[in-house]
Amino acid sequence: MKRLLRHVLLPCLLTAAWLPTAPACGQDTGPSLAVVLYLSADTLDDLKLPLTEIRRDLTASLARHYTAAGYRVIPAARIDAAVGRWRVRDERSISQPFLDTLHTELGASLLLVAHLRAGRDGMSLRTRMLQLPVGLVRRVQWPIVSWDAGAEGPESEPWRQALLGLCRELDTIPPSSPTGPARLLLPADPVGCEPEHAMAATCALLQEWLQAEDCRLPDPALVYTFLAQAGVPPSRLDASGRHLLSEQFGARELWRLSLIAYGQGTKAVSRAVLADDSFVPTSHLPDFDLNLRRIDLETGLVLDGGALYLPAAPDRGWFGTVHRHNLKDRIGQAAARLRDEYSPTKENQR
Amino acid sequence: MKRLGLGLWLLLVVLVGCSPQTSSYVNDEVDYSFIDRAAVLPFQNLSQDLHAGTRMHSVFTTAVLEKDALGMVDLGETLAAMARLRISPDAALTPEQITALGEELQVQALFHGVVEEYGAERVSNDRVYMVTATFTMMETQTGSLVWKAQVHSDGTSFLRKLFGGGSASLFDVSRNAVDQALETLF
Repeated sequence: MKRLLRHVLLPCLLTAAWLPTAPACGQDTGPSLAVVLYLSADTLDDLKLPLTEIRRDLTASLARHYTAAGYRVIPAARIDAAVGRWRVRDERSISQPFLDTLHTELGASLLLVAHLRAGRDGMSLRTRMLQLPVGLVRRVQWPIVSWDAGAEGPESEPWRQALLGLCRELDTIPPSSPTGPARLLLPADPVGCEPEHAMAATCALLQEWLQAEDCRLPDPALVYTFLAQAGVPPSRLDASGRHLLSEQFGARELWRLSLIAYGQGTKAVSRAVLADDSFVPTSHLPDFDLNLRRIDLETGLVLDGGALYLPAAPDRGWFGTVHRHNLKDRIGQAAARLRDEYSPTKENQR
Repeated sequence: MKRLGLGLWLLLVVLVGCSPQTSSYVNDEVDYSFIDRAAVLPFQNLSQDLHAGTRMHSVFTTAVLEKDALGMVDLGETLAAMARLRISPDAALTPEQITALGEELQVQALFHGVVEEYGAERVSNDRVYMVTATFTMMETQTGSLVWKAQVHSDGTSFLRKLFGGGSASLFDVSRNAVDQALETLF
């Protein structure tokens, strides 16, 4: 039981940021940023990680990082109220009313949705920046820092170094506004794996799309909550739901992504196996099948469909060198291949 | 000539070692050219693996899409139509229900699958992945069965046995099973 609890994901919602120092001159003119932070970790007993301190430290680090770049970071307490009011429990719960509140009541022009994952080998910070109030994804970043990077030993609290390293990796240049056509993506559907991993796959694909082309990407969570609030289960999207999506987002197609784990077979086992796979590379990871479908919102027909299988075994070079890949690498690699397969040029050719 | 014969014999052994066992039925009297739009119903899962049905459904749908022969309705649309008609995803469909679903989805055919065996088994100290499944297609005008294929596939092969390789992955075994089944239809 203890083991199970230890491995259970602990998504802890934390919002915000406070300004440790007085705002710099000219800061008011920069974009105002709201930060919503989710935290998950595993094997905490082994790692002896102080979650509360990590939250506090990361919040402060993010605030310093973005403040230094000219952003006006909105204090945590103000965001907490909006989070509670609109029940933003996880990354998939972000809704339009929540974004509207952040924009109109708190004056935020950007929202940073960050997910920190602490594992055995280090930490990763998966972020996506949304433009408010429309909820378009402007940038996705996913830095990873290992425990030994810059740490002097367990006594010197390597997690502090890791957090600083993660923040340093985040690009703060305000992203440009996309002008291309709207492209709708629902959050990936997890089969036999953690919802967190499915969200990671979603972000990986968003990142690939953003890097490859100019398209307007409404946040998948927003698409999901829009349907849910309209009384249409996203898993049972019918003609009325498709019509609603088309009207709301001005899109003609919907993309569905599934992350299907080929592990031990049962969810309970998969959870344990997957618990720290972001950092413990390799053979303990189950195989994945990343599955993408493009659906015509007018007819409900699948226009394209493709699957990419991701074996868990590490690559071996000709001289026996083993190349191990963490979750980010594997999902990123699969997302890149899916992006190549469904590039705009190819779509036009079809 | 002897060498050629030996080579052909070896090739035959290798191919037989890799090929899954498939038995199928196709109704020759049906005009398949009128089927241009189809849906894949949720698969029934009789195996111990909770996700076997979903995984096989995904592999099957992808394989049919790759054939590029039929317009496929999204699974969400299918599930919504089943919910509207109060059809349980696990229930065996009556001809009337098949016809009603066909009208609702505007499809001429419905695919279905039953996953009977799915997962790893011990075969002489080796862990081998196995899949046994039955796939069917019903035409929606009369609700009758027009195609059925039962296939068993495993991760062993002659070459793997010869050179000591492990089992093929569960995904590959699943895909192999689906491909073999669909070969009897397309």
